[in-house]
Amino acid sequence: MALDSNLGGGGGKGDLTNPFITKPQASPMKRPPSRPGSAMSGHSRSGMGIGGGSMDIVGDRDEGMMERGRDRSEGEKGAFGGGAGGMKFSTGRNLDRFIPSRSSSVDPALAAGDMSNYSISNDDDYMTNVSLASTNASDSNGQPGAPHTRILSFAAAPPSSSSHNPHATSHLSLSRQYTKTGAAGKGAAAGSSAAAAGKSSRKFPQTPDRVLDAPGFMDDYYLNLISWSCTNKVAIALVDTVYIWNAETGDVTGLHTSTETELPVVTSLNWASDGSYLAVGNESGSVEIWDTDTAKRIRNMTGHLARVPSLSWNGSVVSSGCRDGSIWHHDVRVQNHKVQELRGHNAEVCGLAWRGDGQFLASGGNDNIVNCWDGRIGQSIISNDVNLPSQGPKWQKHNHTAAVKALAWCPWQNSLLATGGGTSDQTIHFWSSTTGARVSSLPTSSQVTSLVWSPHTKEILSTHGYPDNHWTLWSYPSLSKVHEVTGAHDKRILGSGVSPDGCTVVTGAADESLKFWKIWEAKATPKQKMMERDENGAVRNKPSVSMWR
Amino acid sequence: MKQATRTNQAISLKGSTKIVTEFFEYSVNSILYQRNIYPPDDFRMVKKYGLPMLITADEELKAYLETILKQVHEWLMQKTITRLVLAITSKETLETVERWQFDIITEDENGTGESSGSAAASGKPKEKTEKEVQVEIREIMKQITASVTFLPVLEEECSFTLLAYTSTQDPLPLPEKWNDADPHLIDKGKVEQVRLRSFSTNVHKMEAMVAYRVGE
Repeated sequence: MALDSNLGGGGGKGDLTNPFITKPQASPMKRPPSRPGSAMSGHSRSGMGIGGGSMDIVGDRDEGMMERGRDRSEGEKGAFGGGAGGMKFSTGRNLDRFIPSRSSSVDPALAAGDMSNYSISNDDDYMTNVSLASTNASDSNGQPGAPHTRILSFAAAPPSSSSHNPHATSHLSLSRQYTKTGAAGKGAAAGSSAAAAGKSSRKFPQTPDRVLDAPGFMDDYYLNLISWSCTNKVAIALVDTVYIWNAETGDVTGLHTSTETELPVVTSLNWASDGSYLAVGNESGSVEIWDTDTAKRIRNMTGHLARVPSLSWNGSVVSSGCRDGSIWHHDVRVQNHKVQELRGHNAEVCGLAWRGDGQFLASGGNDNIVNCWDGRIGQSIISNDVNLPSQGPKWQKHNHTAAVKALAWCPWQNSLLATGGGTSDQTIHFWSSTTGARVSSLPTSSQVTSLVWSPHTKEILSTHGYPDNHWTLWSYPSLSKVHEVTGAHDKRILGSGVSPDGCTVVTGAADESLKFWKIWEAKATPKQKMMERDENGAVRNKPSVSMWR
Repeated sequence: MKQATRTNQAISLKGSTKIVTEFFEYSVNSILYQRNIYPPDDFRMVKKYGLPMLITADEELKAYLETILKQVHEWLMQKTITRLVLAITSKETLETVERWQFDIITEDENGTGESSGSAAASGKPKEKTEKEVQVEIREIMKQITASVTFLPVLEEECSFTLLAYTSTQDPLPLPEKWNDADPHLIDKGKVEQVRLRSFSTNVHKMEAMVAYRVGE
């Protein structure tokens, strides 16, 4: 039967022999009499379309489009009326939202007839299409006013995908490069062979870019004596004096107070986020605010009963960790600077770090505890010194088995906090600040003295003490070692800071030297440039800390 | 009278053309993404039709599609385009492996008494709101996305071609850089096709379908 119809169906039009269409003329077509020629062919075609639900490619390829559409919609009705293909048709038309009607396998009930139908039409279609020009010509069905049908395509070939095209959109290829190197970095850590490949694409420093002498740099694990500002100045405390090294010009200025004869030993320092003020904590328990441009002390905030080994700024609030285990928030704008006291440690608070957005403060102590505090100061600003609200930490962790000095918030994953323990612990723990859950842990070979997250890559750098005095670059979250420089210093590394461009890390060690390591490359994708601009803009727009004097 | 309807429809034709062109833009982008013609990371997500749609960020490809769609837009305004085909061809053999076909049926035109008669007879829902159209388009988009599940995996590297079928009473003046083209049919006997949903504005009716090459 199929064969018959095929034979009969020359040029896709003679499908009157199609088994699904019994009496085409009798079916109630609503075709106007204006086009008798096409009405016949149209009907037969629509009949086929009904049977397969799929014939359309075939039947219409050589037909004018408008005609086809009308044909189909009318043809459906016609088929129902004709009754021959009606049942089959109804199944084919019931479209599921996601399961489109597949031509050759819609309905097993259709199978035999439909399949043959389909193939017939396909052949016809194909034939007519092969000789497209002639069909176009004969398309008109003998009608004088038939439309001219043309298939047109845009002359130019579509652009090849940018991965194969060196001239492709630059930021895309750059970002692809970025992800590639990121993946390579991860792979490098995974296997030794991959490590070689990773190293080939990226240079790691074995030697420092620059070494500065730091005579009198205190060999005390609990102190925080290095800070690198966003204005590209490195502050370092040498015994009782703070020195500012301008990384751009190389100039060094000392912050001296001429009024006091015997100066307390500086135990901590931290730059304000806008880089204009430096907070300095000392052995006598006071926190000083210095204007580094004029080298003048602006404020001296006393009150702590013991030395202040850790400081961290958040806007106009500087938080200080004391040897007695207390953490104070000092609002530098008001006379009563102490706006809140946090009690959560019973030993020296040697690590303190505000999250970038000021929502959380993380603290680590000599009691091996990590605390995470809610950054909101609440009513404390309006309450007086006597009636300070006290709060417990948001969460407290006892996993470390030694003092926790190294604390670092991840710049690209807000809720991620890394903490490193001292000599008897040697472990870096990663926490989710929102849940307080330990995300992962990383055992190392030595005490962890500081941690620096890379702003450019998914990596974290840890500095260590005895025996290797090394620093190690880890990839996160795989926690595999990317690079390590053993013997980076002659004695244990005590602290570190990262440059404002996020490329260079400075390490300060007990061998009384500062070493600068160029570890990361800034990825200058447009997006990041924009982000940097935003950051800078934000910094610029941020109202600078106004000081109460 | 004909003149009158024309002017009446002028606005809706414009609006409909915009909708259809936009549909082409998003569907073509979607297909290029779904079928991995361009690397997935070249696409960025935008919200459209209440769905997350992927649009290429490749400037060159963007410009290329824009040029074509601009012409399609023009043809739609002239009501000369009857079909748009996105043919996916193997780079190596230049064989067509997939063929996405969008039939454009311009309604309510070029009929004298017939169109009005049929419209009245079928009780065609007039004045479809844009929202309803968007819902219909969303369904097609979902189908295009879902079609990945049954389409064969494209193993070879592929490129694409956009074909426009035009139909005019008078020979269409060829726009610059457009040429007559092969219909990019898939070899007979190897083809299977699936009809997708359709949508219609008051002016255009769009019917989508995909044909693909199947293994021997």
